[in-house]
Amino acid sequence: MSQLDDQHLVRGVDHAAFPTFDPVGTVHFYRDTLGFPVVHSICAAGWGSDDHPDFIHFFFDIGGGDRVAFFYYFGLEPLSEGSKGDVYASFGDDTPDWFVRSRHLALHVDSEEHMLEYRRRLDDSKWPVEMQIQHETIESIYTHDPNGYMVEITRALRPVTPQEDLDANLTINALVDIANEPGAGMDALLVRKAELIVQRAEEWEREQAEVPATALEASPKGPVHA
Amino acid sequence: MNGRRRLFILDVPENEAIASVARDLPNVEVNKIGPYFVVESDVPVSIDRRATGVRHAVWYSCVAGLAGWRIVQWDKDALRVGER
Repeated sequence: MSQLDDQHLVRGVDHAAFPTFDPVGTVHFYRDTLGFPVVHSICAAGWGSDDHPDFIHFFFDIGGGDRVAFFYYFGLEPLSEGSKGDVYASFGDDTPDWFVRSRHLALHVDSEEHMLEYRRRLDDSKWPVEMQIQHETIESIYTHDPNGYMVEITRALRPVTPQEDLDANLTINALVDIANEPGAGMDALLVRKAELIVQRAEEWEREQAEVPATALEASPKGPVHA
Repeated sequence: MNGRRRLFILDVPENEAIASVARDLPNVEVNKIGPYFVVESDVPVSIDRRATGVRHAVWYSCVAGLAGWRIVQWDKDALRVGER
């Protein structure tokens, strides 16, 4: 047994890395338009094997100590040929847009004012905001970077409540229980989740009542054991 | 625990209007289990979306659970549950 074995130890995104075939556009988008500082770069002659191209690996600060990073390989031609998607993964015309858009990078801001400041920067650039949408409890703007990667900038309309953490855990427990059943869909999930709500919700509420509000505010956000 | 069929909705500010519209329907009771509204009835329930005034993203994610009911309509007009 380790003293760490029940601790949630990771601290955000060190970096998420993507290839680019347009380093100039990428720098114009992230550094010059959005204002994300360049914080690190590596100029590497190959990488171990003979046929690995020389490359530049460069990083932009996305706040909170987190970074988005790119690989630019000298002399490499684009490998992705479909009409939809981005330079890493592309798809044919018959792939639905909602699927293509499902993979994206969402960056957090603290307020509407801050989100709209990024909207202003993007709208003054070659990459204007394509959508501004209020979801359940967040509002987001979206565009695509020069590589075709979808970038979202999002703000919370209100803080997440403790019951939403419970609900998320019951949803995922129900999903794990039913997802491998043949043909299982939303109906199977909602039926299983209702069973879990009946089993857990009242006990959870009693537990919440026993925790002083000050302790809730002071404690780091960790897993909810539903 | 009675034999009535139940529809569960999480009690968060966005869902309050939905629970409120359900509460005003005939033959429907809205109770609580922990942080969930429980819409209970012996007869099929239909909630009018426009009466709730909620945004689409809220509307299409408001159902947390089904006990006894199945969803027979969930679109821009209404959320309707019926016999399973």
